[in-house]
Amino acid sequence: MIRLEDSASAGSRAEIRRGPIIGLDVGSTTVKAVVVDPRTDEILWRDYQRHETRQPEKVLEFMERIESELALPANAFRLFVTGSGGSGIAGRLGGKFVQEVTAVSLAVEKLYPETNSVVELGGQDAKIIVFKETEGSDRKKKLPSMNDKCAGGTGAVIDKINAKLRIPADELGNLGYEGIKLHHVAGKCGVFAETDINGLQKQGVPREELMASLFESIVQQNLSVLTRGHTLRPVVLLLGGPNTYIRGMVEAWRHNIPLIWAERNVPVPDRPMEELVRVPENAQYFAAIGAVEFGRQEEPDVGAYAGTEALREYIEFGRAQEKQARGSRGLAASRTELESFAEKYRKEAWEPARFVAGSRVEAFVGVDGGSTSTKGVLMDMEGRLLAKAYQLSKGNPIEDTVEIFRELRRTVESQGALLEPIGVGTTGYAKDVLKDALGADVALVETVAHTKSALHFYDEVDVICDVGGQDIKIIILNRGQVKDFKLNTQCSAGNGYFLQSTAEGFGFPVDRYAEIAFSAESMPEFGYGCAVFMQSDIVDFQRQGWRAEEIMAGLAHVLPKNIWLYVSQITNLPKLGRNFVLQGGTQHNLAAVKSQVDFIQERFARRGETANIWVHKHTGESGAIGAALEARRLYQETDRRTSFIGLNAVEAIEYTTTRDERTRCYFCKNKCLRTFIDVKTALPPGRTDPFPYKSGPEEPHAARIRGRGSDDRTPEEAIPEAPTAKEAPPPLAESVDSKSKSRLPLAEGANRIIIATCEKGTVEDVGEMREIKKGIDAVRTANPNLVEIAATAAFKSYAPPLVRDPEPKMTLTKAARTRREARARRASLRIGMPRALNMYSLGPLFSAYLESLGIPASNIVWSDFTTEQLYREGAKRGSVDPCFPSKLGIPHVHNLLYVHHKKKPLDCIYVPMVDDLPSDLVGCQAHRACPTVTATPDAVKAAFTKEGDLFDELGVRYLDGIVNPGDPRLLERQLYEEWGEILGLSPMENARAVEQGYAALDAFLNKIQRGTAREILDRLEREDRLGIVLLGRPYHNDPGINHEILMEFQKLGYPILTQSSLPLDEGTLERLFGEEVRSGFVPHPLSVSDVWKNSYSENTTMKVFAAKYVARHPNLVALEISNFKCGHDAPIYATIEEIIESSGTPYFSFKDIDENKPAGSIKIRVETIGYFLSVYRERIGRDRRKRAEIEDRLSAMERELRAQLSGLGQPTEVA
Amino acid sequence: MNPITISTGPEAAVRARLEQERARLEAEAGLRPHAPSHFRRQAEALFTADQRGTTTILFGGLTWKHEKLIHGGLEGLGYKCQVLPVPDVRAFQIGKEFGNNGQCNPTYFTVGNLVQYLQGLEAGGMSRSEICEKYVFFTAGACGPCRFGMYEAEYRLALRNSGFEDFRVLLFQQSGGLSQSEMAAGLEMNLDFFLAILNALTIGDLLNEVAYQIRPYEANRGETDRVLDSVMDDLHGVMRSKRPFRLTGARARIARAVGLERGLTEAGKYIEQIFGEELVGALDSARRRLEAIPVDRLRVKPIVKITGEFWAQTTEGDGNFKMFSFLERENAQVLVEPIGTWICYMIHGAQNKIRDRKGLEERMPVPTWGRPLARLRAELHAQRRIRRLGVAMVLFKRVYERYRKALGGSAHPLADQLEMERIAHPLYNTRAGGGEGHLEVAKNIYYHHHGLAHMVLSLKPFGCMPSTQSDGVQSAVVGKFPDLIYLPIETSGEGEINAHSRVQMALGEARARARAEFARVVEESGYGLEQVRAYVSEREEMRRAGLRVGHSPGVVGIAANFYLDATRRMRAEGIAGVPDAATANETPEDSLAGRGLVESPVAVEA
Repeated sequence: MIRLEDSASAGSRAEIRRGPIIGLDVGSTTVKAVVVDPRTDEILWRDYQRHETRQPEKVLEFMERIESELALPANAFRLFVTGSGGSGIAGRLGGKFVQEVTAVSLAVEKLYPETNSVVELGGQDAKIIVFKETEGSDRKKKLPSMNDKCAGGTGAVIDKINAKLRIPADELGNLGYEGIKLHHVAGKCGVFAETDINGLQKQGVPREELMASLFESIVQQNLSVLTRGHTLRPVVLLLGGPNTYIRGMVEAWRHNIPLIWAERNVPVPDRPMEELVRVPENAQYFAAIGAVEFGRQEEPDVGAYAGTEALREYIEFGRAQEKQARGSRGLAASRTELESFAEKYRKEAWEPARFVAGSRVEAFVGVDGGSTSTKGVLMDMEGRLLAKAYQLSKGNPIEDTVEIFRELRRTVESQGALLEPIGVGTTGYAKDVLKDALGADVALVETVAHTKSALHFYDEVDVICDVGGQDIKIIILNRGQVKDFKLNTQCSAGNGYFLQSTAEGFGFPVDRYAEIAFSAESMPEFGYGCAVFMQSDIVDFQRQGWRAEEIMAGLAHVLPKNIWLYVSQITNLPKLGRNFVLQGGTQHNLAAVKSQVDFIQERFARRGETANIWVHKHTGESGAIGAALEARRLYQETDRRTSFIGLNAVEAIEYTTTRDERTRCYFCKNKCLRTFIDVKTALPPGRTDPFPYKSGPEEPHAARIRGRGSDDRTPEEAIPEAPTAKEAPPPLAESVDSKSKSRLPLAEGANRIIIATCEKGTVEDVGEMREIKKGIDAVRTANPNLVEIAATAAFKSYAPPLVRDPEPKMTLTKAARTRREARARRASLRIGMPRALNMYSLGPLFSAYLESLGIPASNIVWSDFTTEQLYREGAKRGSVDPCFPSKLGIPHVHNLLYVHHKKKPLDCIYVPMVDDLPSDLVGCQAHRACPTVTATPDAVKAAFTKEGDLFDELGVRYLDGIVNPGDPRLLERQLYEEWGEILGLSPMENARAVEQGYAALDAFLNKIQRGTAREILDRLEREDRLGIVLLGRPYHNDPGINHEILMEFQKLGYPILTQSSLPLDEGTLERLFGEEVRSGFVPHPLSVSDVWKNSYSENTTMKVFAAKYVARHPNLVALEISNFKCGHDAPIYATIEEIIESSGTPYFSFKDIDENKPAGSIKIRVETIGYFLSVYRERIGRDRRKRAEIEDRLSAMERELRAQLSGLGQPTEVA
Repeated sequence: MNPITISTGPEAAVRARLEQERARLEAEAGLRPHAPSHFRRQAEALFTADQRGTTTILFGGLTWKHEKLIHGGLEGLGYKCQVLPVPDVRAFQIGKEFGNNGQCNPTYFTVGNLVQYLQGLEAGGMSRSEICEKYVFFTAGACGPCRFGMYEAEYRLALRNSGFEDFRVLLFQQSGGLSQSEMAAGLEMNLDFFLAILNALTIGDLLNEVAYQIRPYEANRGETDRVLDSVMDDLHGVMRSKRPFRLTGARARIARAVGLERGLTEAGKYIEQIFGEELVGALDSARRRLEAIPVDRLRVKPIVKITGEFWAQTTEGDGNFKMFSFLERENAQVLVEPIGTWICYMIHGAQNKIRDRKGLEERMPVPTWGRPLARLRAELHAQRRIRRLGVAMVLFKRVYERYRKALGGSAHPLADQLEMERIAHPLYNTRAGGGEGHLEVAKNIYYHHHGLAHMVLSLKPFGCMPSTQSDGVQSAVVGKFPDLIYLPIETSGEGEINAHSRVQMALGEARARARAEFARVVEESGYGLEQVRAYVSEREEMRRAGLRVGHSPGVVGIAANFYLDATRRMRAEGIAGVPDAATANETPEDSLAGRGLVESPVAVEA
């Protein structure tokens, strides 16, 4: 221990400052400090505490304690501060700020010099530092990486989920990973993770498994993103709170890191895993210790601790000033404004209907099984609302719904009347399960339910903005018809749940939110965007001294920005129309309403206009109302009598939910787990009335109900290919009923609802499954999917004729002999190519080129189709984060190397850099390929050569020369340069092979794609049906990229065309564009100059052309797919939409697609699009009938006119 | 049925009647008109010569130095023009609001900046129609490969969405110059215009670099900026008053008479560009004032070379988190990237394109070995075109060199594109377009290999297409050059603190490298620090920005090189070395720290 006199009696100031060094680490959730005697390295003092968002206060407390407990004057210390909150505080204490990674690195170098990698998980950040030996230096080079804008993979995600699952801190620390069953949880973002956890939780997955799955996802996220492709070589040090305190987190690292070592042949010292992947002592203090180390290297005057005065002053006064300077006024400019707002938007009082005692109340019931609550309504024959009920989720929608029915019934029966439901509709997440359980008449997709409800109460609605607990839906209408809708498919920033959880975090119930927020006279300005980062803004604002009410006001204020600018990305509101309906539970909160109203009105005010904004008078129940209205429509329009099981049966519902090995589906190789809900109601046992397609709450599930007594066969009998012994399902449980052969016996009187990932899994019986499959196959056959057809045809052999030179008679020169040897190798040469990117349009060109030169078709080896597993296995080598299609480059080459090459060695891997593309379009600036895609092969090469040349090690030659297929003569030269030596080519045979390549390309494009599309179009026109055109790049044919969305539409009965398959025959072009060419709008049918000027990117221009095509073809509608970060799609978003919508053609889109498959959102979108397409189909059918009638009348009129003319001879008038 | 008057014959009357009835019946049935309306892009309004006197050309997107000189140059050519302010976060948000979703941030910043400026004019009392009439916006364009070439559409979309749909956007094609059809005659795309822009860019590049060289070492805080402001004012005046070369008097009459007026005038313009003294003289005057700035070059600072995407590496505002001023606050010396490199890259790229396509001209047979004459002809044809571009390259570089020398020669010469290509090609195919691609890789290796920077910082927008891929390749570069410090930063418009933190992280390494290097130099020199400091303090010329610091092999930092220069002089003057006694038992780093020679970053105030 340092003695007082050492410093106190020391002579010069510099000597005094050679006293203890304080290392202070101010993190997002905790403050850590160590005080070290620099001469002895002894830690004199240390502490680690959560600051509960009061960083300056906690630091002040620490500093005061250090001063008093070590009994030293302030000027004895030097202070070095690190951590995310360190920079602001350092200056106020006279200390010096040290960047966190620098600090951690210094500590690691000092305390654990053998370390080669560090993984530090902090509250809101994650860091990985890879240490590398450098030649000629005794210091290792540090390759650090930190999370940038995203909280994915950090402690914040654990905190978020933990808060949801309410696991006490000590229990969380003890949760494990090894030996625990894992489920898929997205680690990319806390919000996504929560969505997955919600789903799993509803399936009854225990929280140990949920957390273990979360640990796994966090580890995977960091391994695939944050390592930037570097290998975490042993010894790996695990630092930071989660790694220090949570056992499962450490186990997850110890499980996953060695897998990478094995794959990459990393030499592993023969030591226990605890030492190779270790949590060091004082792990939580590393940054603080590193700050001290940094301080040692500074001159004695640097970091001279100045005492706490300035910090105290900041806490007392400065913070308030800082706050004032940064904030803005409150939610209302004045009390008068607030009062007039409140007057206008005050909720209308609503009373349930009064019923005459003894009367029979015939009513339609609507139930909305939402993510956080269930709502129910009663409506009468005239569409009047009779009663409402609300139930906060108790965890299961069936249980919640029983409560809802109980309450509705109570409302009626308490007045002595009798409730008699004459129709029941369900909507919301749980709509299908509820429909099955209740025997409801309809399960209506939420978007449609909300639209029906808004249109029921308000006329001329242009926009419906529904903000619920988790969902944001923007529905855009045009003359009462839905034109477009936006859902928060990828992000839930801006939803109501965040407001609620923040209020609750401050100790206020959500219904007091508005009252509290309106009391704030000023508020902090939040940056809109990621909800997880807004959470960190809250912490920051608290640090600055903003009070709860001010933060709540600021949060309400940013809500519309998140809704309109961030999630739905509609920046130009007036374009949508003037009449807005706000609905969804969040509109109960008037602070949120005022922000919305102000935001919308401000956009109109800029144009000198105002908008009409209504808050739905039954804002929370709009979905339930929509469902009831649909039941009413069915009753009135189709004369349908309800299939509802009855109120007493609902009361008596008993159910059990099972999701375990006994529910696993063995109908295909995926072997998915299913959820069985066995419901016991008064529904007659064995009822087998086949409910139509229905699906479960969290995935694009299909569900089916079956009762006891159906022909139950075991899943084993149903398996087309018997599983191996290892995979075989567990033996049957002893059945209560000997007739039932299900592994999960169905109790007497129960009906089973099966929630599965596909339709086939909705039954247990192979016969039924085959029927379902047969039905699906029939629909698919009748409606070809060119996405799928092209995806297969791009990689098949086109069996080109051999065009190789004849064997030379003599080989006199060395060159000739070399060539002969190379020629001889052709028959055995194995060439791997990635089934990715431009290969989806150019595959036949390259395969036919090689095949025609004598490479056997079987030796042209394509990587596997993209799957989640393929991506996951290869992506860990990636060092950058481009669009998902480009990111697939590495996994596909990884697949070639680690799967195909392993099976049978490859000689070459050919990944050409495609610079331009062949084109049919006319008058474009150029036909360039996307530069991200072009350069992908070089980025792939880098990934496999940066830590030693893996291609070299495996004896595989990597070829990635640039090619210009848009210029056949240049391509010929390029291919000759690439392959000439390897294949022993002559220029002439190369030229012939190139011709064969183009011939195959022509067959692929014109015969397979356009030929099939021609047939489809003819049939659509003949049958007056609709087809969907995928507006997407060729790689969107990749099932791993398009997430098989198109197949869902195919199953709904729509044939799918791609933009490159659209027939370009003269007749069609003339029909679609002839008039416009003659009118001079466009110089050529294949030109896009009338709509798009910057036409140098081929796939972009092609998309624009396809949009024009769809806009002019009466039997086609458009579905645009685009990837997150697509640099060439973004500039044409508005153009594509305008081209299609101007013509009145429906346009739908799935944008920002990436590696995460948001299955739940995809399902809602598909269902909604399906609904509106069917409406559109009905409308155009009706319109065509009307037009035909008009034509008949006109023909009659014409006959009459001509008759008059012929009768008049030379008339002056016709009547 | 209503009677109708027949005026054009019975057939027409019947048709007209039927159409009338069709419209009535369709309306009755609630049907849309039979022929749907189709979207067309907006017709582009022109900027014509007669509007020149009343129309202000708006432009921006570079550094204020470049922009000020362009402003002077254009005004000198008789245009009214106005530089847009440096784009800020507010501009970015406006860009996001009115543009397409998912753009890269240069689009949002620059597009939003224009809209913000126009909104400001409107707030100042001008009507929208007046604004559209009195202003035009001038920007660069390209034919790919990244989305930069589509910015024009984005400007138009944002203008339309913000209510300025009639506002005119003029495009300067990078590869092909101005498109006359768009420009009409409002902005004349002639040699005078080209030369004015080229001079502005070149001089802007050089002054920009020199200022960044001096500022970190200035003895009196703020003096560099004060001098630079004044120098820029003067140069702006020179650019503004400079008149293009013209034949006058008898020479003009004779040239006209023999039909050579145009040719000789153009030749005169070239000659003046290559040999003229007007700008060189102005630069010489600027040099004298800049060189007089007192400096202390014994401050040890890491040199950070900036590379990246064109706009992100150039702008000095929120678009790159004000990275240059941040780096300077963190006690680094910034080595900026000249726009001249881009010009050379464009010329070199065009030469490569000709090389690659030699003999493949459309509608011409491919010359094979069997047709030697055709082959020769193709070769000569290609060489002629390559040479023509080569001349352009030589002329451009010569002028750059001339101005560089006039400014004292401390700015770096333009990097040789062939060398860039040789360095990058094995890692990143140089034929993959996009500029940021292979050039970033090449510059990283080049500046490291030649010992010109301690660290390379690549600034790129979030989602930049070529630059993201080049980062993928940089991971292999870092693997091959283990002692290279390279940091890419994606600039997204938001997240400044995080970006700065990451820079600090890498800068910590670079700073350590600079210190170690300096410590080594001190140790090996045989002269003590105090001794050298005393020596320097006695010689005014060594405390002025004008002193050229040599570049010793393997020594990167200015302080270390300056120390070597000083000790060389001392040695030459016969001064014996006296190592500081105090350093005997200390590590070199301690020694430096103790003498205040190592600067520490200034803590960022909250």
